Amino acid sequence: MTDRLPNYLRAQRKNTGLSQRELGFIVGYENEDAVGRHELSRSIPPLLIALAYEAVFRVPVSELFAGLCDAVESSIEARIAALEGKIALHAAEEVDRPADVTRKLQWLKNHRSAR
Amino acid sequence: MNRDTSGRYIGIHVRPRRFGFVVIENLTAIDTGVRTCGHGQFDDCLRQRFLRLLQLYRPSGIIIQALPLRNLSDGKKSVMNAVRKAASQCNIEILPVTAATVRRFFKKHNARTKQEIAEVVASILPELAWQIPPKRKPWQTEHHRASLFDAAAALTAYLLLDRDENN
Repeated sequence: MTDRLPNYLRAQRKNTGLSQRELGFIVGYENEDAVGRHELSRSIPPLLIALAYEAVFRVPVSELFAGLCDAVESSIEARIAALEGKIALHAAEEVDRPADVTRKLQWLKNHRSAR
Repeated sequence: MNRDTSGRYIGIHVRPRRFGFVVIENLTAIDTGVRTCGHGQFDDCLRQRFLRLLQLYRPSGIIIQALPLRNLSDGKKSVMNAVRKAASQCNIEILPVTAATVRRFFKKHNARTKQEIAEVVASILPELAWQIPPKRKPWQTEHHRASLFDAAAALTAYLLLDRDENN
């Protein structure tokens, strides 16, 4: 399956007929430079601008930045697995496991199962 | 054999010293345009422009209407060479489709003229509907957007002809 693009801003903008300058104006920029950089994935927009793009195109940020979202999810899954391993290792050595450790391990397990 | 329509492809149509292109993903148009280089280091300029498209979209393949080399103008030869070099640099396959295949696909949709073909393309790729060029009068030159519809025609014919014939 083809990897998703880092973002689909250009596709959404082209569908509207708006120029980069016009889109830049709508989301609050003085010129088109930042929109161009975002479309080409040369920079990642600040959160408020990403939310502005969502408001303009009525497409969730996670879909507008699909490839980026996939990369973040992948990284998070790996770090969650690493944390689960670390916590489980320490928990195994404890006679009386604190409630919060049990809670964390349960949450981590549920998160993994939900994938 | 049904082609994989779920990937990302770029279709291009060669004109002298420029090319029209359409990028589709899962049969949705995500970018269109016409790229040209006026003068100077023309071949290199066009190759760079095409390379940027390939690097941005990383398509599974480049669909292009096969052109008979012996009668090709120098301008079109330059564009074809630029496309081949850029494709080779990015290790992306060029998938030629013949003019006969394109005609056969659109004949099934009762489309023969460029205007009719553009309308069928827009029904398959509704994102292009608002870009259909106005109907050309006999004394007018071709609209600059015609080449991107030619690119889209080759692309849709390549991906969908076998699916149509199997249905």
